[in-house]
Amino acid sequence: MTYIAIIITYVFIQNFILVQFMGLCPFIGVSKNSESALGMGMAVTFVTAVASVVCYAVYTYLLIPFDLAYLQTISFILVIAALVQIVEMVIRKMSPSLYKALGIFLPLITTNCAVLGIAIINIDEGYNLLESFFAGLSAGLGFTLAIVLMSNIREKLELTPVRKVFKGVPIAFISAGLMALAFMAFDKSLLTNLGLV
Amino acid sequence: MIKQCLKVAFILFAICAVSVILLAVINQITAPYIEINTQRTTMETLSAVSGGYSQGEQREGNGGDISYVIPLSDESGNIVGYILELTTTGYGGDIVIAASYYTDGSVLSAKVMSNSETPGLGKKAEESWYMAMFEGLGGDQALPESKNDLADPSAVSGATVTFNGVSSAIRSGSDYVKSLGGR
Amino acid sequence: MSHRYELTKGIFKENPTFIIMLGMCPTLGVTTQVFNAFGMGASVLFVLLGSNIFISALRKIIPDSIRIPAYIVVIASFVTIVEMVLHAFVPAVFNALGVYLPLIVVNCIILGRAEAFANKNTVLDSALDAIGMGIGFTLALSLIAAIREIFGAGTITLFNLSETQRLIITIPGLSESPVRVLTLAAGALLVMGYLKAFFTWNSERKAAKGERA
Repeated sequence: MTYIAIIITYVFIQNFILVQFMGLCPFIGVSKNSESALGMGMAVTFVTAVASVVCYAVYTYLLIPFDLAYLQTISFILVIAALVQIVEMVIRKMSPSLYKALGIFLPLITTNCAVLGIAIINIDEGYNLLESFFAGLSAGLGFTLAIVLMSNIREKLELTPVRKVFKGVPIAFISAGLMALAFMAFDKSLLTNLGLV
Repeated sequence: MIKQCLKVAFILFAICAVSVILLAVINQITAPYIEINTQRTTMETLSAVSGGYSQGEQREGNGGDISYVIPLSDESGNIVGYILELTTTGYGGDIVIAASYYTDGSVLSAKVMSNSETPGLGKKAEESWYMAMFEGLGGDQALPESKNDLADPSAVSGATVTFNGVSSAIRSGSDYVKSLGGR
Repeated sequence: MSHRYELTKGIFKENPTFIIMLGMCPTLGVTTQVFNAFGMGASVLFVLLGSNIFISALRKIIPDSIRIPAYIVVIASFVTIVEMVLHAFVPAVFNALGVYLPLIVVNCIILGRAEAFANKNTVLDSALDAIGMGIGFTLALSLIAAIREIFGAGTITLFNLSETQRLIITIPGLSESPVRVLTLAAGALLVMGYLKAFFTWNSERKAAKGERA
C-alpha cells in the first residue's frame, strides 16, 4: 500500500515541476513540441529511478558505515554525472533507436535539479531501497506528465494570438502557474481519503 | 596515450582529494556545533512545555502519531502529566508538535518542533498565541474540533487544513493521556 | 572590457534570473519570504565567488577533457561548506532553505559562469563577475520574494532567526486578507511569468528608444 502512496505523492501531490519547481529549466526549454517533451520525460524518468537506487546504496552502504555523511552532496552529484555517462554509452551500444530518441537529452540531465533532488529527498524521508526506487520512478513520471501536458499547451499557444511581450517564456510560465493551480486539488488529504496512510 | 590518460586521472584525483580533505576539516569544526544545536532545540522545546515540572524517563509512544511520552512529576515524585511528541499532516507536509497534558487530559502547553508545512499557511502554528488556544481544554471542557468551535475563527482562516491537523493531533494526544490513567 | 563592466553587467544587463533565465528552481522554491531570498542569494554568491576564483586559478591546469567533472567537484565542495557552516551557526536559515540548499550544486548559474567566463578570464575578472552575478541573483530573488510575501501574506520578513530575534513588517489591511495563492507554488509561476513579460517589455522599449535617438 505504501508504494501506491509514494507513487501518488510524487506524481501528483508533490509534482516535481508544478509544486517543487525542480527541473524547471528543461521544463521551459524542451517543452516546445510534444515529441521531444516525451523523450526528455522518459530519459529523466529512467535516470531518476536508477539514480535513486544507486545514491541510496552509496549513502547506506558507503557513507554511513565510514561516517562520511557530510560528503552526501558531492558524492551524489558525482554518482549522477557518472551514471548519466554510463547510461548514455550503454544505450548507444545496445539500442541505437532508443539512443536516437533519448540521446540528445541525456547530457542535460546531470544538471537537472530533479535527479539530485529526489536522491536527497529519499535520504531525508528515510525511504528504504524499494521505496527509493518507487519515489525516483514516480518523480520522473510526474516530471513527464507535467512536461508533456505543457508541450501540448505550448503547441496550441503557437496558433493563438498572444500579446508580443508575453510570447514565448512569459506565457509558458503563466500557463504552468494555471496548471499548478489545478494540481493544488491534489493534497495530502487525498491519501487519507483513499485510506493509504 | 596511456601517459596522457594517467595524467588526466591524476589531476582529477588530486582535485577530489583536496576537496575531501578541506571538507573533512570543516566538518570537524562544525559537527560539534550542529550536535549542540539539535540537542538544545529539543531540550528547549521540552522544557518550555514542561510547565516547570521535572521530566521523567522517555517511554515508547503508540507506534502511530505519538512518537514518545515523557512523564512529568511534581516535587514529591507524583506523576502530574505527560509530554507527548505528536506528528500530524497539514496542507503540504508534516508538523511535529510537543504537547504536554495534565493526567486528566487537559492541555498544559504545546509547541511546534518541526514544520514542513507550506510556508505562509502553516507558519502561524509556530506563533505562541496559536497553541495558547488549546491550553486548559481537553479535561472538563472539550477541545475544539473545527475552527467554528473557536472564540475567534478568523484567527486561523486561510489555514483550515493546518488547524484541523493540529487540533486532531492534540485531541488524540489528550485521549491517549486519559487512557494512561496517571501511570 | 573594464573591471567595472564585469562587476555591473550581472546586476541588470545580463541579470542571471530575468535575462539569461538560469537557476529557476531555487528562485521559485525559496521566495516565499524576503529573508529566505537573502539567505539563498548570499549562499549562491559565496559558492559562485569560490568556484569562479578556483576554476579561473586552475584553468591552465585542468585538462579540457575532464573540465566538467572537475568543476562539479569544486562547486559541490563549496556548497557543502555553505551547508555545514549554516547548519552549525545559523540553523534557522539552514532549515528554511531545506533541500534547495544542496541543490545549489545543480544551479545552472554556477556551472554556466564557470564554463562561459571563469575558464577564460583572469582571477580578478572572474571574482568581479561572480560578485556581480551573485548580487543580480540576490536582487532578483528579493524582488520576487517581496511581491509574493507582500501580496501573499501581507508581511515583509527582513530578519527572522528565532521568535525573539526578528524583524517583520506587517502591512495593515493586506495581512488580514492576503492573496494567499501567491505564496503557493502556482503563485510563484504566475509572478515569474508577469515579471519576465515586464522585463521583455522594458528592454524592447529601451531598444526602441535607442533606435530613435
